[in-house]
Amino acid sequence: MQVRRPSPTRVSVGVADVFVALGLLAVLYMGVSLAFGAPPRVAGPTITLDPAALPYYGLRSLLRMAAAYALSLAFTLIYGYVAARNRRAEMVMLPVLDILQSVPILSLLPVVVLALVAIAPEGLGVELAAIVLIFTSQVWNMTFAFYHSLITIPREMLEAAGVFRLNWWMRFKSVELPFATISLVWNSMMSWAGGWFFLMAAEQFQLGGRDFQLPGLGSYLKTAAEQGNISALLLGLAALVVLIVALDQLVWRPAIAWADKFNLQTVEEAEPPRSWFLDFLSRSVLLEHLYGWTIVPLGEALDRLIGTQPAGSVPTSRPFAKRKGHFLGLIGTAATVVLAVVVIYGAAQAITFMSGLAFDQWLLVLAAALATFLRVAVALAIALAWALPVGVAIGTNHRLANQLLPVVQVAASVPATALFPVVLLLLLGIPGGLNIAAVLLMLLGTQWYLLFNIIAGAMAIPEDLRYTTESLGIRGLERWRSFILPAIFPFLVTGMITATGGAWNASVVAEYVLFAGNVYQTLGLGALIAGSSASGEFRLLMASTLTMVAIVVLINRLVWRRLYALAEARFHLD
Amino acid sequence: MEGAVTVREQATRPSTGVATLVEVRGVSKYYGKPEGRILVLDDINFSIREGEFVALLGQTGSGKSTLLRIVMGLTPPSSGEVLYRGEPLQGVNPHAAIVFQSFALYPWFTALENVELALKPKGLPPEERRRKAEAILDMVGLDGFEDAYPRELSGGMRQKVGFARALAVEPEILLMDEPFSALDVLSAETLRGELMELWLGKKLPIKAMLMVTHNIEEAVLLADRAIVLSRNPGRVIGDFLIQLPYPRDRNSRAFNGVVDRIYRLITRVVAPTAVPEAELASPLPSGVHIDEIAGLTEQMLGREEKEDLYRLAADLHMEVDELLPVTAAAEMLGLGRVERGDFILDPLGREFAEADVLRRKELLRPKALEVPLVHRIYTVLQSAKDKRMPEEFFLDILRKGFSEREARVQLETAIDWGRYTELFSYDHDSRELYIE
Amino acid sequence: MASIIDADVPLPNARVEHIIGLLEVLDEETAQGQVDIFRLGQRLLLSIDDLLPILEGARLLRFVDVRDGDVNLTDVGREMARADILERKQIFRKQAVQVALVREVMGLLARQPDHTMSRDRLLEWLETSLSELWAARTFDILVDWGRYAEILGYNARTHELHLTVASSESKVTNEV
Repeated sequence: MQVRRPSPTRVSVGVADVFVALGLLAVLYMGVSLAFGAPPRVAGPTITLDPAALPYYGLRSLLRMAAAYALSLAFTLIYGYVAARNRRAEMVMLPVLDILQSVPILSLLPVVVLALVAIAPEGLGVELAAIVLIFTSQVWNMTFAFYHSLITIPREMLEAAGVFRLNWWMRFKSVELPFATISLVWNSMMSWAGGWFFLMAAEQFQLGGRDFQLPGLGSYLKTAAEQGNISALLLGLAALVVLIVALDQLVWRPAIAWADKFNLQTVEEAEPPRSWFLDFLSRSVLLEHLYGWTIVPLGEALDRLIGTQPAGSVPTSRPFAKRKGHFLGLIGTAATVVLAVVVIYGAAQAITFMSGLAFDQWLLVLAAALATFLRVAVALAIALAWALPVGVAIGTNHRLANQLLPVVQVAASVPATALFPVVLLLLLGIPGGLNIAAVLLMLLGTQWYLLFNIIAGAMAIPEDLRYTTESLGIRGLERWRSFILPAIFPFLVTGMITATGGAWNASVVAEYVLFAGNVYQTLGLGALIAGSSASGEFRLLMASTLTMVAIVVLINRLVWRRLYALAEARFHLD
Repeated sequence: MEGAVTVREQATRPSTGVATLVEVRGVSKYYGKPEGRILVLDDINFSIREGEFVALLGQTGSGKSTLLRIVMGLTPPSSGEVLYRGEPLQGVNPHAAIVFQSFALYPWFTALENVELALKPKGLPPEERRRKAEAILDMVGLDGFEDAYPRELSGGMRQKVGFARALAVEPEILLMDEPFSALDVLSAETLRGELMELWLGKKLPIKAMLMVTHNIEEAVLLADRAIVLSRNPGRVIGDFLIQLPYPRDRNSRAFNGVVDRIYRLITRVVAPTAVPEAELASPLPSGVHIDEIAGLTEQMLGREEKEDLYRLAADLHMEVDELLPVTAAAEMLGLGRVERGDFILDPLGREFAEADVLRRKELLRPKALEVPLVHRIYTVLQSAKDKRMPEEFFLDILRKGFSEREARVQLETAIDWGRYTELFSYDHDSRELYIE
Repeated sequence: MASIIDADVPLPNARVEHIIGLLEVLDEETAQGQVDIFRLGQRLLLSIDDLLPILEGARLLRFVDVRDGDVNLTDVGREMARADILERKQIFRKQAVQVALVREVMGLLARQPDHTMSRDRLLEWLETSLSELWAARTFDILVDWGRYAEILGYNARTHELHLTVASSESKVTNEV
């Protein structure tokens, strides 16, 4: 597993952030206004619980995910490349990315859906909305990772490309893309895992009194839950698991094994990752011939066409890059002025709109925020409590890690949202059951991010450091305090950031549930969002969404990134 | 004739009408904003002609790698210009290629593919490209390794691929950035020998070579001309021919004479005002660490002013021979002295023994600075770039008066004293001494 | 005459370029006779642990003689130290095929269809007389020597070892 230490980003709120926040406000408002114009009823196909329909539903869900992924990959390669290679663009593009990744996806759901449905024919509109939604859950970490790869290419590799006069195309194809491949593969896996989570929620929902549904496994499961059909529920889950395992074996394992050739490590690892499917494919002579007849000549032609153009200047590498937000440098450009005017206008409109919200409703929002905050805190605490010891135990034992990681990955991919109806079934009888269920769902949805990152951190602990600690006989608490924690800290923080976002996201599906014909909800921001979009109270929806965004961004900046910077100073990371 | 520090030794090369390839004119390079800018290279002037193998010598901080990249055209000079065959460079020099210190091979390509990549921008048909690449790999002796990935190759072979790649584009001048520094001794030996075999046997399609190195011996072993740079900023302080016959014998007097000459040229410019040989005349007691000295003073606390050395040694579970260096060290630091078979604890020593760690460091610091080697290290680091210096620099000085082993022990002792008193520290990974 | 070392002993961790470097240094140092191992280590800044395998490799290939802690170059060794790049490969090849393990592997490959064998299978074969760790190391050295001598080829993607055309036709292979 490619372990690269995550790099620190800006710690506090800057000018660019404010600008982006205002922009976000404006966009949300525009979406909501569009939503007012959406048709009164969008009838979807009826979902049958017949098991024979499962393969078809599975395929539809898979296609949706694949389309979203293709979109994400394209976005990543373009956005990441431009941001990495163009200093000026970078100054805007990064803050935008930063904030967007903190926005809870499910709170965008209503806006996106309604906007798209207003523009496109009904069925297509909803389908596109689902794809866009999945896209937003997949793309940010991929883009960040790609950008980070590009700016940390070893300096001499870039210089060599310059010496031999490789132009942008040859450099991209032969240096930059290969270098970023391992990171892209791992991030793609994580993105798919996250995507499944939201797919389940995106395929069937109620919005402003209207029903939306798409044929797929997610809506199958939801329908089964709604009707209280346990056997259908379990069948659907089984189908989902089969799909995920199949993907793992036929796509991800081979991809990881193949990507090992891009590993920069100079010593061949004792046990490089293997995939039976990849081995199987590589023995196929037909495939080799096909490759030789199509990909290779295509590559040659492209190289001859584009690659022989004169080379531009050599890009510089910034291995310890700290992203600075010197936004003011761009203000001079006319385009930004125009953009600023538009954004401010939109934001002003949005604020006027929201000011129509009654004071006690704002109080409700705040109270709900506090409730969800507590739930998130509990979920994260539990996640940390078990993920930390287990993650360290797995990560420090490389053999164990290589065996268990595949299992962990599959487990992580199975979306908690699909399991949720079952969990709910069990807990509804207990007083406060929904609260517990909500925390549990948050936990299930986010603990994997934490676990992964901790394992990555533990695996990255240099061997000799470990031996030294062992030979010095440092044990127990001391070992943890002085050795393990400092080493895995950056990974821990990254994991916490992702987990925090994930938990808040999950609250939208966890705090408001439609089950067996009844609505179950508890006090919480997620419930507010889900509820207000279902009943069409758009002011409340907007207010709750913005509150959530603000909280997540603030927590990320003021807590996690501060901790990271502190750890950097104390523990001399890097 | 060695005179003032700024005397430059000039090469008197016969002008025989051989073409000049590279001409560096008044090149300077600085970094940072105009107010606080750091000057790395200062007014560099030299030229390289066909047939020359030039070594660009300098310690860390002499900007020699930067200069190489300026000659290559990878980075522009801040002032001055570089001409190639009379024409100023526009961007990357198409007649030059670099062999990098860390090889800079792409791990996802085989050896053959790495070499072929360099040929791709030329737009040759695939078969011709492959043939050329295979031929050059054969020439450097890598026939049989074409389909090997870099991780399967040892360091020297990886660098060979680096050479093959650079040679494949048929440059007129080959630039090398410390090409052997990342290799172990044996691989470096092999590679140097094979490079010279190809160069002297005129089997290489190149007309000149410029090699950057910090290893004086290596430069004298290989090159026929040495350009020596000073540090902070880099200035040319020497430019002369090395007219020794090949193959060169490391043990010959002539060889050592040249090495010596270059060494003195480099250190003369850097030497601080302290008497150069002081640290050789009054060496540190070998391998005595501060905590041993501390232990000695603590032992003395419960006793009368003076104590017989034999008894003291017995109480400390040491032989007297082992104790003597410790007492000598204590004496050097003003904590006590030896008189007629007794060790006497001075007031400073008593204060030291009774103090806590922080106070002890404070007390010892001024005393440590009076020790020539520690003083020298401290002052050199103060004026060094980033306040860092590789250990080799100090070891070279020490080697003049000590054996290899003893030189290392002296340095290690000084580092221990320096660390304790927080005057300077040692980075084990980069083998550098530094002040924080 | 074949070496008396048989396939039970793993190949020492000695890469070709280290062996060549060693021979060059020995050529310099032994101008006045033999060199003692300890001094050699000091000159090369190598610990004994690192030097011994390389010496052993050179000895296996009959480039050096080691006796009572002293090292001496053989005639072939001196020839090797002074040869040029291409000549070296030929000399090395001549010496390599005299090593029993190398001959056995060549013979093994010659009996396979396409003279090709997967890494896993060869490791299995090696593990019948060597431990897992040593088998893996021996494999790496075998590939290094084999490639240099142009006896073997290895495709890291398909993990397959094969006999080069030249050596599959040589008498040596067919003798085994």
